[in-house]
Amino acid sequence: MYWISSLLKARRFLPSRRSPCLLGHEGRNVRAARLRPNFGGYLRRSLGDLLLAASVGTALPIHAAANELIVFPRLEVLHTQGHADEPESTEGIAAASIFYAGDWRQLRALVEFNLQYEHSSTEIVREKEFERAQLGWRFDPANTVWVGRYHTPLGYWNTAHHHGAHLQTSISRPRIHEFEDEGGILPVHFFGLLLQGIQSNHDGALSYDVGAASGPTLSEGALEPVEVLAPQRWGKPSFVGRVSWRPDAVGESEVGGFAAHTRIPVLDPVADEVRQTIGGAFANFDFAPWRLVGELFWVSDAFRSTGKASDFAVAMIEGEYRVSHMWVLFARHEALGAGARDAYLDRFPDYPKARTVGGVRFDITHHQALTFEVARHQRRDGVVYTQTALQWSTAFP
Amino acid sequence: MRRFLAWAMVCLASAISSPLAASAAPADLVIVVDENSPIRGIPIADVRRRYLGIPLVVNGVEVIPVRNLTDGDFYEVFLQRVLFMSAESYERRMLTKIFREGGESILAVTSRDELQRVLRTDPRRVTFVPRTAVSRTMRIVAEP
Repeated sequence: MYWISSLLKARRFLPSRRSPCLLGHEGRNVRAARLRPNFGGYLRRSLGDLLLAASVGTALPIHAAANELIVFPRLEVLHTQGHADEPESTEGIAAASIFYAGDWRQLRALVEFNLQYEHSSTEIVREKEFERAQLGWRFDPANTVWVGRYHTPLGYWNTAHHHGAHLQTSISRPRIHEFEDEGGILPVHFFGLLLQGIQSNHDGALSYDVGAASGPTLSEGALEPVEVLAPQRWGKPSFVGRVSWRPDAVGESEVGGFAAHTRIPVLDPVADEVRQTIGGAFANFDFAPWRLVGELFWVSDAFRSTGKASDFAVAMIEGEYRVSHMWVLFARHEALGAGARDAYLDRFPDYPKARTVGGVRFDITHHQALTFEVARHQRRDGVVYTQTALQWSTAFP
Repeated sequence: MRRFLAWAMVCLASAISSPLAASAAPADLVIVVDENSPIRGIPIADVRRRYLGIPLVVNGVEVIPVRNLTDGDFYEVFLQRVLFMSAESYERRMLTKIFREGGESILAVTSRDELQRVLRTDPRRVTFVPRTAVSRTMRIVAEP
């Protein structure tokens, strides 16, 4: 936190002066009260848990602890064109992802808490959830073992962007990476162990993630990952692995592959179990001002009750072009493999056959952006509709 | 003879003034550790990697970087000559990295006394200073 404010000052070539912050560098300058007036009782209650966790770091000796607290607020308006039996709708979203990371010697903590308020003509939805809550042990400079709830290292997007809207160029996530409570079809969160490491030579760097954890359950057509604090509904043992290679260790370009095996209990009136195997590859090429991200997923599902297995494939490609330091154009196309017929996928009727997204991002300041996006959805039953979204996002401080 | 003396004076002035000018130039940047540090030398490419978040072990010691923000202009020189990026790009890069992987940010120090103290108390710390600011308690381990 402190180094961010320091950098802002350094940009203006001025000697930096320590500024107050929520959780100052190395555990100093606790000013939690600054959060309170702006968010109301709902946010206060939710932040209580987070600040309690953060205060553990501040109680430790100054030279042993280092803390970061970053808030990613966003405001969004989403308009959906009427289609089939769905009327036209407009939805307002106010959300904030609150991120905390702390190191105390070898012990590490990482928490990402998401608050969301959605308002449409038909309903109001309030959400508060620990999206990531990890406690880690750094047993050497390059390797950490984590325990807790984490984002499954599947593909590129799910390890790169998480819930910090400001750090991603587009407003929407690729549909294959959608969160479980937004209709996601893959286990985006695991709860258990994760080994994370990096090995580098003079040129490149090899990163790896290996996880063994509880996967989600499937109930009423939606995946439910294990919650952090709410009454926990455990899934079955699940495994995930990911390897990526960066030709230039400090560059953004990388290529890699991943695989996962998840046993998903189906908790509907007719109990069942899905054995899901995922494999795929991804690439992110950063050739400024161009950037290209591609991901390929293969998903195989077998229901215990029928013993039958089926599979489908999903591909996604996104291109970005930075016109200037303030403007970025982007486009993305996602497609489900032709002829895909999968009993598991049938439980997610909203998953589109294809989606094409285009938009523009305008960086108002270094820490604020305004993004406009248009998405054309093609459902598997042939219905086509358009969504338009406008988002303001920031990172604080 | 007068012409010879004039040329001699010019040469002498050049000889005296050049090193002074060079030593005063902010671009004359070196990477230093405390004199008691076991770190003997670091390739400048590894310094760059370490400041961009890649773990680095040298002489059996984990290298821990410190950002010297005692002078904004000099910090800009470091960003350009060692990291090859702007302050904005660097900030965004490190923000993204911490958001992905967690971990601590790089310590920033804003006074020379504090810089000396940080290096003295932790022999794993490395930082960048102008060559003219290298004190007797510091040892140069890399030069861009």
